[in-house]
Amino acid sequence: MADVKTTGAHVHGEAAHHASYLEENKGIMNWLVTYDHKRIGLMYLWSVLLMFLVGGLFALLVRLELLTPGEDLMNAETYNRVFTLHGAIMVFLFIIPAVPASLGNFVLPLMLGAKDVAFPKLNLASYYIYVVGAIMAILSIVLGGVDTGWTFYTPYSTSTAGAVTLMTLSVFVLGFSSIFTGLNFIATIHTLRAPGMSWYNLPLFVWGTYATSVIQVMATPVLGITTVLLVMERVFQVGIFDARLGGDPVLFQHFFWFYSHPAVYIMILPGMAIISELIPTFSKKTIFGYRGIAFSSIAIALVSFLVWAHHMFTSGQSPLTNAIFSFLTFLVAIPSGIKVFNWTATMYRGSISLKTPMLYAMSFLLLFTIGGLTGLFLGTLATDIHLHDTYFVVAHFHYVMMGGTVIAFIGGLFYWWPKMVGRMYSEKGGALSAILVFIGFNATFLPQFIMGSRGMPRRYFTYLDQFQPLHQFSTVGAEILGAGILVAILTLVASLRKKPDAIANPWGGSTLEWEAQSPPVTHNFVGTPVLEHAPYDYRHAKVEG
Amino acid sequence: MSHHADSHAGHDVHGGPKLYGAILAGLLFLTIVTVGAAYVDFGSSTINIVIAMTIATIKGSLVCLYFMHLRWDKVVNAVVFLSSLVFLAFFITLCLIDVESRDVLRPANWTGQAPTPIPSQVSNTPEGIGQPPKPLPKEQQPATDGHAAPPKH
Amino acid sequence: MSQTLESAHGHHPAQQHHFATMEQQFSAAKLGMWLFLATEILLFGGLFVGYGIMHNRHPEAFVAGHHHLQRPMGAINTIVLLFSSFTMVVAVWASQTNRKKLLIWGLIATIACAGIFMVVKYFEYSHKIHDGLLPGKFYSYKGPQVEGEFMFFSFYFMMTGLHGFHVLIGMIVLAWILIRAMRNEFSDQYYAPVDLAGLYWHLVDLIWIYLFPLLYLVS
Repeated sequence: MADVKTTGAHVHGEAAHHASYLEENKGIMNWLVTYDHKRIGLMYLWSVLLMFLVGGLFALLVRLELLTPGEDLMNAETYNRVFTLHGAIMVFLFIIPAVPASLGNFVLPLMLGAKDVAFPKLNLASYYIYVVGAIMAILSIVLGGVDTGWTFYTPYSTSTAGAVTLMTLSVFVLGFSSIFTGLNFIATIHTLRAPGMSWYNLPLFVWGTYATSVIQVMATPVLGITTVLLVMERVFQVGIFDARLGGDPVLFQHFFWFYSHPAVYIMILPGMAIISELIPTFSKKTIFGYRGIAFSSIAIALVSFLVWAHHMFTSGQSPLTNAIFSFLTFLVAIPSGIKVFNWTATMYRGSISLKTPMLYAMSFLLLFTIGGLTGLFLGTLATDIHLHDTYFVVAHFHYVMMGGTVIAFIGGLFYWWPKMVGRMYSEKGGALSAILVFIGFNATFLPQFIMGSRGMPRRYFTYLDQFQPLHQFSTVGAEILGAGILVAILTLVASLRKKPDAIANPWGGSTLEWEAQSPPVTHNFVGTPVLEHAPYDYRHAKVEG
Repeated sequence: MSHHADSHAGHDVHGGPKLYGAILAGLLFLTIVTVGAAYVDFGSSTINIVIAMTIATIKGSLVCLYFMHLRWDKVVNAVVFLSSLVFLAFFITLCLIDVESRDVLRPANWTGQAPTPIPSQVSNTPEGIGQPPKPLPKEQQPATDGHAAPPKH
Repeated sequence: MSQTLESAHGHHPAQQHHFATMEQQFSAAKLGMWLFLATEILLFGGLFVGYGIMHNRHPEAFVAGHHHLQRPMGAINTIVLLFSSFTMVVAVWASQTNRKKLLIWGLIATIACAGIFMVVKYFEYSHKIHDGLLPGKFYSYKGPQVEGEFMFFSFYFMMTGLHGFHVLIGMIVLAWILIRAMRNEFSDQYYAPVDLAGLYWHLVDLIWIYLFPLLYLVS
């Protein structure tokens, strides 16, 4: 590729292989105190994958219990704890850090042509804060469990027994980890771009991550104070959320969703950011509407702060508030639509190669669109009254979070895996996993739309007999989905046993990280990269391998 | 104000003890004004709060512009600072719209008193905090809670 | 922002390897600090929103509650913090202009003011504790009072408590800066830590500027 010149040594092919970041300073101690963003990214990656497996295990337990109506695998209280842990672990320990802290940490400085993130020590600190938060969350399982759901609504959360206080404090701690990652990325993007890299030459992954970081920095502190207030309410009964003392439990929901609605964009924006890389690379075509995609990320980040109370249409907030928030919610559809149309337009008449990451990207397009459109039903006041707290909501957000973010995450993992570890995985294994995940996912969650619209409430350990066929279909789908994820992980792990065989740019990608050797050297580039052309310019691209 | 000519690092030195002293004098003066205004009855408590908050904002702006150097600093830092205020404004405005536009419904077990010191949570039901303790059935929920009947309009 | 200008004077010992110039490092650090301050504003912001809404709902209780606070104490603390902001900004200026003695004295004065603030706060708190004006279930004041008055003290303690905690952290940070200043680590080439600690300290002052009228001057 002729877009980028590197001063210093030539980095293509076998010309000069330098010791990579994996080969230098080996040993566990060197990893634990590393400031290298690539190593921190990998440590985050293994940690979030572990949490994904734990959360996934709880999900499968939930689905198993729902195989038949009535109490069979677990009783109501255990069920409440299990679905709470599934939600809390998946949200706070997996999806929020998944893409930015693992893939983002690894790729972002490479894409910018930087040697590291702006504050490497803070980066490592953020990882250890995450570990502390994770340990606290797991301790709260051991010390009595939590049955409030991941939303911790008052007055239930202030009066129920169990380790709610510890779990809330763990969320507080995890919030700091998230803030530090976001803060670090914003400072990095502002100050460490390679010479020649203007804002409009940034890869779209960087734009998406930037928008995510803005939300992380501006919304997470409110979660922090919300958890503090909740702990105060539990320990001191300060009264702010307690109606018996003159407080307002609905206010808790305002506080909680002021963070947690933007937080769902912390989850989806990085997924969109990955897709914006995968689609041009595997369509061999310049991205359609670069600025549209870039600015729609920023627009989503800003609008996300203005729609939180659409989670509260049935909470007893005022009808005026309902109307305002319902109206504002529809605004989100505009930037999301811009993205989907631009991705589709990029694929139009491109020379598409159906490699594993592209299979995941195409799954994303379909599933995210379904997830996004069903969101409109829920943003509409009249239909939400009917659908609120049913399986329709469950299906909707799983289509966005799992069908959107998680599938994009796995796609991104397959995309950057050769760069991270220097090895190619089996394409057959990758494709099989993509197909299994797609089938399993739809089988799990499509029936839930139907159940929800017929009135199956969420968070119940039992149900009416009439829902049994759909529940069983859903459970079987969950097993297929789990198998697909397992195949994906096994495919990646199996590649580690091979000799390093990845060339610098196996996919013909056009962004800077593909100019570094696979895997990169400790300081990323040999010499200083200088960017001379915009990203996604495939006119000079030659596909290797 | 004396500038060192040999400021190699390229950071311009702004202000100086004289300017900062003047700002401090202004801040102290405004403190006296705001305390004084608290003793004057302007007719309604809203006006008093608005006056107090306006003076606080003037003081805050002086601190930001001069003590925190925002007046001379890179624009991006000011943007970061102001956007935090903008998001906070969204938060408080939309919350106030909600609270102002619905009826305050007091639950039947409202006491208006501080909670009596009771040992911490023991059961899955909301414990009786009111006086006398546990006068009400356990499903007595605050009327503002999501599961209770919506207010009639 | 991202030029490859090599420092004409060689590398300063405090320059980290991933920055091309000291100036780039300084801009990054400063932007990072402002982002952190933004998170602090939103953290306190949550308490302000809670205060605003509860004040709105129980206006009489909040007015009655604030009569238990001593305005002179609050006013003294306001003056002390404003003065400490002044000494802090002078310390920053001194480090930018290589006035080592002034830097050290500025920092000492700032820490001393922070200490005075905490001592005054201690007397205020012990007075409240003596009267039983404590947050939530520890509230045991028996004198004449208005419905919901305890809520004011919940907020009084949460807001001043979080602020006081920040003052304590500020004292620790400034003490560390003071030690480094005595070791002659700062100069017009490298004063970022003094500058950033200063920004943090001014934010602590800024929040008090709002807390003082909200808690002490409600009427």
